[in-house]
Amino acid sequence: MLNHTAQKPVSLWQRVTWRDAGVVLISMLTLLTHFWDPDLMKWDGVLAMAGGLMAGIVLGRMHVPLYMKPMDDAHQVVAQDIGTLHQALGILESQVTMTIKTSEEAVLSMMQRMQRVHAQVLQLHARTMEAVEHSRSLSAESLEGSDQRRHAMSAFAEHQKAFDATQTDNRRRVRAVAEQVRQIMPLAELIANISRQTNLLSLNASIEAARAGQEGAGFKVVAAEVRNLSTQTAEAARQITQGITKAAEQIDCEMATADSMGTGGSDTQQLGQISDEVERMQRTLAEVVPYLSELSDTMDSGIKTMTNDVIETLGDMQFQDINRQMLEQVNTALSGLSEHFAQLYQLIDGQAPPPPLELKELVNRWTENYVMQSQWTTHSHGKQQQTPESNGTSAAGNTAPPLIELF
Amino acid sequence: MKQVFLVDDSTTMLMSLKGTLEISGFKVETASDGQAALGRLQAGLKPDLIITDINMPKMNGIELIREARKLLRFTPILALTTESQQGKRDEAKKNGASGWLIKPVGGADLVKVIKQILPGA
Repeated sequence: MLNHTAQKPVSLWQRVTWRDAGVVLISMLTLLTHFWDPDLMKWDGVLAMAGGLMAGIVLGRMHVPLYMKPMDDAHQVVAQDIGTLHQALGILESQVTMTIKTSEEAVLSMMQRMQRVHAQVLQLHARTMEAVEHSRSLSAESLEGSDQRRHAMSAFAEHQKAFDATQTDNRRRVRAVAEQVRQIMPLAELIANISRQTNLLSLNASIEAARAGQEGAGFKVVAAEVRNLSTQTAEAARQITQGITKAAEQIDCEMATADSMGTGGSDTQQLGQISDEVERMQRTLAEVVPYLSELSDTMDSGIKTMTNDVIETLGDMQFQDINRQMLEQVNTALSGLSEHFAQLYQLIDGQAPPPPLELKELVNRWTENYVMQSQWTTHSHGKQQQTPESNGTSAAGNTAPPLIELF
Repeated sequence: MKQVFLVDDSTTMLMSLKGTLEISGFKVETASDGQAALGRLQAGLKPDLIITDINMPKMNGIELIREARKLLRFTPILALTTESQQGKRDEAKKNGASGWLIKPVGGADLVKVIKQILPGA
């Protein structure tokens, strides 16, 4: 606020100029010339020169254009504008303050989001390291188990190989036995043949014995016994053949069964060990799967939170464009003020007319360039002595619109 | 992937919106004034959505909306601006704008509005 203190009256001597001194000197010279040579400078000449000099002094002080208002009007204009200046600067101060506040709020918001993102990153990093450590532990256990399993499998494979070799050898020998048994079959047939021949011989002997009469009685008995022996031999041959056949068939059946079963045998101890290892692997897997699932959920959630924070931070950056527009308006207003007061300075100096617009009107016209509701609001707050409705910068028609509206 | 065409004379705004939309899964093209934007549309660019500022040099947003509407009858056009005068809003609507957003718009809110306008986005 301008301090209008009472000014000390200026004395006559302080207002005398060189021009005034020059005029007095010329007047004195004129008088001296008259007294020295009255014919050269008569009284009417002295009086005429004195009058002209005095008129020049008076008119010389009126060094303003003829179309200018009197000095009192200029002072009034200046005083009024200086009074309005406080209001104008208040408006601009409010707008700059709001710009600063907008910047601070946006930057604080961005900082908070970045801190949150940083915290999320640290948390995810910690979980990742924990998962790595846990994975290493599970991996070590799995590797240890795999060594044992590999050893067990290797031993089992060796044993199985030996078993297979033994089995193969056994089957080979059994087949050989079966073949040998089959090879006996012709011998049984031979025995049966011999028995039939013997039987025929005994019949012939019986016939000859009968033909021989009494001398052939003993021979007849022998023939009978031979025939009996032949019968028994034939029966034995038949049983041998039957037994051999049955044995060969049995061997073939067993061989067929053994072949179908393949290498089927197992070492109980080795299988037991492998079973234990498989069970251990299952336990490990049962532990890992839910852990990884939980870890995945945590990572997804964390990344989603960070993504949202980044999106909102990018939105916060819009404050720069808003502030730019506001500061451009303030800059334009300051340029107008500068030009206005340059004109006032010339007015005070008597070299120019008053500015075309009073400062009050100039301030009102700032609203023509406003686009944001906040600019009207700060303008109204800055003009503390006027209500918004009375100064033409009414917020009526510029009431706060919805931020998002779909047509 | 839906394509959004951003028009604004503020580099910061373009960076902010482009980053937000690309993170959210949109393809983004930009222009820094209405005249350049119209040139690209006339050259064949057919975005799924246009988002434009209003107060721009060479050609303002309302003129762009009017001319763009002649080329793209059914493409949604949103005005994203600091402008809050009802008259400008009505003029934009009259010239074919589909919506009016006042800066600053939160990233999540913007994406929500776009997904509402572009089904399947």
